[in-house]
Amino acid sequence: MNITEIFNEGLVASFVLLVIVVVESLIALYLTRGGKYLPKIRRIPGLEAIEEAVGRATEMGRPIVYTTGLGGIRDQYYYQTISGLNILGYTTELAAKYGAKLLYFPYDPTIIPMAVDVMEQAYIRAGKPEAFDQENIQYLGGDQFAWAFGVLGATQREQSAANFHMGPFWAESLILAESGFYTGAIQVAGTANYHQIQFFVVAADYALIGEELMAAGAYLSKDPTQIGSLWGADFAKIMVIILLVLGVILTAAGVTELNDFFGL
Amino acid sequence: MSLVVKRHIPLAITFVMGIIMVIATYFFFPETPARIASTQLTASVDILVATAGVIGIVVLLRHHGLNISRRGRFWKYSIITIIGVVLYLIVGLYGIATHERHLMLASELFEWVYIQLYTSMDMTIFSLLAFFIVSAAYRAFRLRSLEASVLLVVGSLMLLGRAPIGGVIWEGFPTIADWLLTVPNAAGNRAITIGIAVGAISLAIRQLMGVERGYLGPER
Repeated sequence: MNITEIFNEGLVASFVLLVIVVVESLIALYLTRGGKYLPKIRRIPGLEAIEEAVGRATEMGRPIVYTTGLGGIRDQYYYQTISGLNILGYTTELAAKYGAKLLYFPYDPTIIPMAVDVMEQAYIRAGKPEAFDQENIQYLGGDQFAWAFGVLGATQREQSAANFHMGPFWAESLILAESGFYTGAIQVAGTANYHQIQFFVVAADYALIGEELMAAGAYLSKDPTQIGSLWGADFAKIMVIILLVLGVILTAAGVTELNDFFGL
Repeated sequence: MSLVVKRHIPLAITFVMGIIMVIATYFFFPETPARIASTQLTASVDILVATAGVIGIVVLLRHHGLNISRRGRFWKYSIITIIGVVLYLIVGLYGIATHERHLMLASELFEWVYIQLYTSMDMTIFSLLAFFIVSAAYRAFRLRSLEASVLLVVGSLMLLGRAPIGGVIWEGFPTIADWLLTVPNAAGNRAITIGIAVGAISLAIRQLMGVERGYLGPER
């Protein structure tokens, strides 16, 4: 069987870019494996603020509200949900250490078993497995606005002192962020849905913009290997910038081969 | 449960499934094991989701049932929630039992409840978003910093460019609004989108290689 017969020709450019990014990331993972080399990564204020927010909730004796948006494991936004669950683990661990109550509101029931595991693991890491209460994971329903107003109601009733919204969000993003503002909560919110980022930037105290959400798991883990993969992603971005500049120059010079290759 | 069952097997499944899906995306393998596997994997997600739906209902009923039995905070609202779930379930089952429609279609009564009650409440909630936008915009547009000032100017120009009155006041407002959307806004969006795409691939590699395991359960 000839490779050209079975390859999806419409995705050549995408495949080439994917291979380059994967190779760069794997090289970065190899170089940083076991802490052989630790690249410096920039500070992400939104992630640094999590501990401050959890500490404040503990001091005030009020609960923390956490959501991972409208994503599940079955859609193309799952990577945001997974990132949200990674941050949930970190936040729950802090809440367990400090003795604060964290309420998690999943939208999609497919993530409930994962959330239970993530939170249980966090309580174990904090040395308080007996303090884990599954009742703090509350399913409100699988409809966008029913869920959003369920979270809003819980935020208002419980008078949460810290709100975290990490994952894919749509029109409900502002409803959630405003409800937290009215209870005076410190809010950290992040999404990779670029049409909702501005709402979080405006209404939340700290916002994770796009890729910062995906980097959160590696950033918070402090694991050199995971941080190394972020370094690899930076190389991929440098490559994209070079391609962009090259594309502009070639297009201005009337050479269209690069544009044709990418189907532009 | 051993570490192999709790950690290694899920990681191996994640790796194999991920590789199968990547191959199925980029290569045509008609009637080959890889293609059949990817089709069946996609179909199996529906089964998983249907099962998870039951988990959702159980978690919901358990939480509110416990709240009622303990006379917890706002326990009376929990009664309303349970009544709502049970009644709607009865309405759905009634439609199936009377064979009014095919199993996969909602009965007329089911649709009536959905459209007359649920949709109305849903739209009421959605319409409240306008007020949240106003309150957020009020805070964001206050002249406190350079960024807030830029936001105020750009936001005002967009409002004037998109509202009919803007074009009446000065015909240049819609042109400015179009330029703001298609040039600086598009540039920012594309930069964010590229970063997201690279970040998502990086995250996928970490997960497929088993480096990032935060979403998995306890090791002990």
